[in-house]
Amino acid sequence: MDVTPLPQPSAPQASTGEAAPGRPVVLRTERLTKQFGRLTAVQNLNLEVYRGDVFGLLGPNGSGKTTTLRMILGLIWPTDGQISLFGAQMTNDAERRAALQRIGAIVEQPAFYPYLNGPENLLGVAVYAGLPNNAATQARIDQVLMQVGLAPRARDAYKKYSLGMKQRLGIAAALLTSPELIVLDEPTNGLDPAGMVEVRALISQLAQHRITVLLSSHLLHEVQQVCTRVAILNRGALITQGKVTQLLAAQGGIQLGFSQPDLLSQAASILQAAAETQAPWLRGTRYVPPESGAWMPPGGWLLLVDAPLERAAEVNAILGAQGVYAAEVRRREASLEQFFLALTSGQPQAPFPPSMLPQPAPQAQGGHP
Amino acid sequence: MTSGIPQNSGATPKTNDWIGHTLRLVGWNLLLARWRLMSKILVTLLLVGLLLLIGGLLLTYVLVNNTGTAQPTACPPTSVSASQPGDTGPGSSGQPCISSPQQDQQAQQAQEAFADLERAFLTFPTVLIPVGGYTAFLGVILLCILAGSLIGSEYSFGTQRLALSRGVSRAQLLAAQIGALAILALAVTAGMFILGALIGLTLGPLLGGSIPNIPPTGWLELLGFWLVVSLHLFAYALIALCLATLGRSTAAGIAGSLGYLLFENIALPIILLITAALSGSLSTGISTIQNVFLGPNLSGLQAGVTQSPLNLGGASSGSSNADLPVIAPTQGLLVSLLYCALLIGLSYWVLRKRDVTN
Repeated sequence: MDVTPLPQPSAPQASTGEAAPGRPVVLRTERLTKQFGRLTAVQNLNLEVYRGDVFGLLGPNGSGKTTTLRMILGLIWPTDGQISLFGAQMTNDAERRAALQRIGAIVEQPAFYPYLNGPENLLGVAVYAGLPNNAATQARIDQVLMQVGLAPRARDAYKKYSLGMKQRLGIAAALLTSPELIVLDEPTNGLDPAGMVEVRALISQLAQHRITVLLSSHLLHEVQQVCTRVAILNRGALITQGKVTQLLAAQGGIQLGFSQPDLLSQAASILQAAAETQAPWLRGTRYVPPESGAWMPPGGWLLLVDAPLERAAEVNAILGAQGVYAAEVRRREASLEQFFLALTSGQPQAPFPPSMLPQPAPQAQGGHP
Repeated sequence: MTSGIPQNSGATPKTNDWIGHTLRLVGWNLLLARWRLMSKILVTLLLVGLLLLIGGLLLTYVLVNNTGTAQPTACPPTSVSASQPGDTGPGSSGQPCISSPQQDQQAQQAQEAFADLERAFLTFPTVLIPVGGYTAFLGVILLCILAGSLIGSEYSFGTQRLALSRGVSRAQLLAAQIGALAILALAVTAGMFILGALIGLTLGPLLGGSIPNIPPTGWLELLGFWLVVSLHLFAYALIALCLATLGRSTAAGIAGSLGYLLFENIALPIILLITAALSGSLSTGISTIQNVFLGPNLSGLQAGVTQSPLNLGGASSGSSNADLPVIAPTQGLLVSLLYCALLIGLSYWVLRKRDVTN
């Protein structure tokens, strides 16, 4: 086995090479580009969202998430590239209208008429979506208001709603027309913790009913909990996209901390040798920075071993047999947040040779657990 | 939120029919106008104004009639030339001695004619002359305010993106707004005309006025009058729509349209003054400047449509350009329609190209 570094959270443009899941493509963007004057907000974006996906669109502020969603919803015209929604080209007026009628969306804050109450505002949404103003539509409005827990305050004017209630009305509007694709831009904004849990549950239920969800959020743990696939944008460009499980699979492992930096490279060499002989299950090692708030070893770096978690004791034994003892052995959980930050914050992502490792600090930082 | 996925329980088929969907959007815009507090205030203002107008006409009629019944005493022949201000003459009634019997007769005839005119203004169908003029003046102002508010608030509330992201095309959005404004213009004018007619049919006969038999061509003239006054309201409302779209705000729509109205009403008297002060081809040339304004063209169209048999064209349509040459009706119609087409075209062009951001 080659003891090669674990895959880093840097991926080539477009995808992680995942195979198409064999489901119909609901949304596809090709070379999607948007320029505002000299500013390129979105650049050559290629996305694929499949039916039943809960697709997370992630990125720091200004990365082009909302611009992308607005282009998908026909609010902003792309400078270049194409958007195909349910197979329809968005450049064709009639096709775009028909495709958008199959979508429910909240873009940024929900926007409604402040002097109208909940049902009146939803009636407007129904009319916009091409539904008739009849008893069935009224019944549907009552149903979704009940669904989002707004029924008791439905008759109040929208301007009297709290931020959370406004968000709930936005979700009700998105669900109103029984859409096949729901686009949610920061859907838990303004919701209390209970409301956030309810929204997550709702999104999971939507997915179970094979309703596709395209979700943009800053709450990465929220995205990790509900999304099946994600795309990460930075400065308008796609950094990676793929299944959450696949993207994170490469990020977890057995984390070893050493009290002296030079032990780090020794441990890596020992494990490399062991992988070629006695431990074929060892897939690789790499140096990683500690997680935020965790114990910081003197050199500031840890060794992450790509191996089944249940082999942690064996890894420790291999090292111990060579006289190298880890100061800390722990299971490192894959986190979308770390993955995201590593991709977007400019942290070094390539594995460092020992010579490039930071020198030991004069005094140990942090506390040993 | 309750658990369970929302299912659409009712069969509510969506429409992909462009016209059908647009008509629903027109209906929605009218509902929005109805639900707005501002609409109720504006309608109240319009009705109060109409009541004041009718009240003013009625008061004038009563005053003229009362003056007519209290005849001044005729002066004796010798005292005509000697009569001085304050001289009450030989009579003991205290009435001023002012004129000869012929002059009295002329004054009485003038008063009677004025009273007849006032009575006619309160009798159907002539009552529609002041009502039409009033609608074309205050109705325009109020409809501009409503139009600017309706269209501009779509931007300030952010509700435009709600519509566009649900499959409403930009053309539909604009067509629905234009359709709603056209219906509002027709409805406001019809409402004012119906109220005017009701007043004329009840108050006029009470004052001794007689309602003439209206020939079929007279009804056509009434129809034309209604359409022209509606066009008057609609054309100015389109200015509010266009400016609210360009400026993406209520203020731009209202201030811009009312500003144009004000500008027109200041510019036209100035043109009139210059024209009166000059002569020859220069005067004629300057007077033709009015041809580019919307108001004189609508007035010209109105004058042409309401010439006969009821002659309702005497109504001033809110412009103070009565002494300028009247524009030919065909030219008035074409220029008015050209204005509408340009305003709609500009609005669509801007809306079509624009990205909908915050």
